[in-house]
Amino acid sequence: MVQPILQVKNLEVEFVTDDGIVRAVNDISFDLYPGETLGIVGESGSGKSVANLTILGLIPQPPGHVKGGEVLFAEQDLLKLSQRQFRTIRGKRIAMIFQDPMTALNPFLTIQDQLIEVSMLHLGHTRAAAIQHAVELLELVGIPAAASRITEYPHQFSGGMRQRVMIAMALSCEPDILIADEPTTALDVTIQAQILDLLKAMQDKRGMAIIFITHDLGVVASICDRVLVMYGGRKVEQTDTKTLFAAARHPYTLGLLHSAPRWDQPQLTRLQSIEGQPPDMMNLPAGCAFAPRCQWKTDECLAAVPELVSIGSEFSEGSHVFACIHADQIQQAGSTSREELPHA
Amino acid sequence: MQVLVFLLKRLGWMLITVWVVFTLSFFLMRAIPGGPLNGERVLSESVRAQLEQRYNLDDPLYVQYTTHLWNTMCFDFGPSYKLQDFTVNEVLAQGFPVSAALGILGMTFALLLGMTAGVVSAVRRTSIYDFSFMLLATLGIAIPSFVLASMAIVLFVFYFQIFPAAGWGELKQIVLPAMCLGAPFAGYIARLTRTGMLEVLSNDYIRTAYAKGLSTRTVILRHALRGSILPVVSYLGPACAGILTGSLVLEKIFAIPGMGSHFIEAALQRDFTLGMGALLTYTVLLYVMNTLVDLSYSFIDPRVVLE
Repeated sequence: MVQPILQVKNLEVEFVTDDGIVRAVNDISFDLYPGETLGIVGESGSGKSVANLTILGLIPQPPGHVKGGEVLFAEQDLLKLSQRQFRTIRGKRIAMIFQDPMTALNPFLTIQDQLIEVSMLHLGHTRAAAIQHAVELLELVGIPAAASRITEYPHQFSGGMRQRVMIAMALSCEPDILIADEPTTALDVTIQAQILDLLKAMQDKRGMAIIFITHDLGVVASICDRVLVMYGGRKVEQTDTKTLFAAARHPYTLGLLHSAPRWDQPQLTRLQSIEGQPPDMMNLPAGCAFAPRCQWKTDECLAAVPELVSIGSEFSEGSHVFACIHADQIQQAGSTSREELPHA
Repeated sequence: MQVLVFLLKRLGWMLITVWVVFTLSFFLMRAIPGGPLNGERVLSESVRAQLEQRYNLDDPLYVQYTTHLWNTMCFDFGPSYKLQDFTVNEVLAQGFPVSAALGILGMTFALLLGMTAGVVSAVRRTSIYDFSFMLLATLGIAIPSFVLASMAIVLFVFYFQIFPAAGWGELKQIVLPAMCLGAPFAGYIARLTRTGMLEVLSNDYIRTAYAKGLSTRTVILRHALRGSILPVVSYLGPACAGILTGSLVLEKIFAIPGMGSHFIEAALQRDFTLGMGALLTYTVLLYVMNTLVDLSYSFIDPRVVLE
């Protein structure tokens, strides 16, 4: 039995603002196993980024506030660490790359300055050794003429190159976990594919676990082993990637699947959108957060937040967790094909 | 190379600027009523004619203008009309280093205090430090320097008896006026630094720096400070002009033999040559400061290209 490398248990994070309390993350739990890629999917404001920033202790406090839960890593609860202890984990054992490589690098410092400080801090490198290390990393992530380009500034790099630099920076100390927060969203499609390939290659080489935050199901299909779907700050569905695409059991997941084009469907099917707006995180509805937008909604849905139901054991193929009382109906609806357009 | 071209270009523009300032001031000074020979004593015709001849005041205006311009180009500002036996060059050579020393000390004080207070206020936002520093900054900006100077004299000269009341020459004597001079600038700089720092701290790359495991101190000093001092740097140009014009009040109060009092008296007494000398000195100084500010932009922010 493989032990999870990271366990998030019942994490609750809220932001206290002048207008009220924003409950960004509600009772999120998941395990991350060594070497796997866990996708976290959800729309903007669903709490996926906040949950992961909390893991690294990076949400600004105040206004942010961790209300409850545990983040277990290396036999300790990260949420209980002092800032000083936390710094020995950030960047060294858990590293993060961010959405927009245009703004995530410091425009005032050279690539070299930004790369060497990580290994000088965590690995005790001398400056010369750190530069050597940094050049090797840049070559590893595919930056041509790394030795000469390393003294340039971020604005002299293209978007894709900057994201490669970010990845090199994150890999600097060979972390156990890499949290990638929409690393391809700000890049154009060909560069996206390159970055995904790079991440996969790095994972094969280094064996780290990746938490991949995205709202792009195409990206999920190409890189993730397992997927966790978030809605309204809650986990609504979690399963392996294959099962998710074949037999989604939550109406939100199904909505996401139906709103993305698929090559295995007839080309003339109509893409469906999810009606309505994402929930107001300040006043979440009493029952299922998705109910107002759900075509299967019944009175039961509005009464209480649906419990997470789990089928199959955690490791077996097809293990599936979902939070919907109409799950069977939805799975059936998902298996019938989409509305076909008449040929013109 | 790029820097050299930039500096040469700026030098060219400076010469033009100085010429324009010279021409405007030359005619403005002569356009206002009165002249250097209008004093309390009524001069007899013959004395007046002799004096006018001595100072070339009897020449037609365009001759005066061209000779004065030529002499100025040779760095000769001529004799002072009012301070007898002194050339303007001598007066400036005496006064300028004093004013400059006062200004540099005052500015250093303002930068040290202002930037420290600004950074602390931004990092510990809404804390007691933030509130007290910003209150002090507002007071520093609001209180006129002569009020501040009087209070400082009462407090540090008469009550605590640490510093002498006035004079020039010793380090002890420069402390009080420099602090009074720097106080309002420290206030502005503190506010600018705080705003700049808060803006920088909200940037994504600060989060990246924290995600690397860097300590707050490293993040602030290495990653945030450089971006946050840009507003302060652009303020330094005008601030240097302000610190020079602001110094004349303090030079009076603390009896400092600087340039400020000469400047005022030259204007009041229609001392054309001394007034012109002081004015051009300030012009060049301000121009040099602004050029340095532009130059330092490109050193601080690599994205800035010198033109």
